[in-house]
Amino acid sequence: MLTCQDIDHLVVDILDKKLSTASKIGVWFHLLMCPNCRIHVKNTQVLVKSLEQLQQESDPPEALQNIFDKH
Amino acid sequence: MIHFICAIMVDSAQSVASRVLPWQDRSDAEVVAAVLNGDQGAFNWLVRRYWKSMYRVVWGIVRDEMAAQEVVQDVWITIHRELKNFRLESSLKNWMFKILTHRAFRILKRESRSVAFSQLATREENEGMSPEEQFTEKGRWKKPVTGFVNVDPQAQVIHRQGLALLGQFIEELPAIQRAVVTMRDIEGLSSDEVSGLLDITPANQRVLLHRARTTLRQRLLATESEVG
Repeated sequence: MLTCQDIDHLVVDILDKKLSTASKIGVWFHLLMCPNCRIHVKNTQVLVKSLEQLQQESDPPEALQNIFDKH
Repeated sequence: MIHFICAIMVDSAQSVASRVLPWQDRSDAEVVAAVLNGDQGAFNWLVRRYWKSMYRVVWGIVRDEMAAQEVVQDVWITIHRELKNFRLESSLKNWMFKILTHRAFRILKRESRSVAFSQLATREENEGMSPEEQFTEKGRWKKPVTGFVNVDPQAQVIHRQGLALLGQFIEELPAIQRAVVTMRDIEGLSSDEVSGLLDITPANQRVLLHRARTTLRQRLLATESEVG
């Protein structure tokens, strides 16, 4: 039986969809029983989706711009 | 004949559409072709889009502001010069980050730093917030876990103010954790790509990512509870 700490250890693999079949069953069963871990996995999903939003365009510093003016 | 004419019409409509699409929605092949055709706008977009992530990654490796700036500048010149040799066998992003990390590691080697990068990466596995502190001896949560409050229910991302804080918290992560989370979660590179680019083991990469995400999640939750 997996503990909450095990789920935390596995959360990277859960989101990467890299769990073995046996682990998947263990995780699924634990999440079914444990609201805290369901929130924890959800929080991590939201965090990762939010980090994707930081893909944004911005002006490079002046030193970098000068390089391109010359090329 | 009608099929042929329709095919030409669809083809030209797609080509018109691709010309008006913003750069971020175009394929690697289209961006590369535009740069090679001398489209300065395409190259400027590449720089604006990637320089910040590149800087974060280089800083994680060389840990020196001047050296990091020097690497990023050199790398963009190399990208501009070598783009004609890019073969679309990997993504453009992966190709650019490969040039970047290769150059950064060469600087490390040139300066023959006493502590090897792999040792620093291993050391950083224990930096920042420890995931273990959150659990009892029996492996249960010490405190009830609370969900993010300020989340856009449709997009499932935190609100704009939280995103600004997230950007700030990333800058405060230990250097290699910052490089890993930038490549994995902001730039969307795979775990294998990141392990390869940083020359660390997949296990090492996984722990660094876990640490970084734990710190970011905890700090965001702490901010929400302070405000709330």
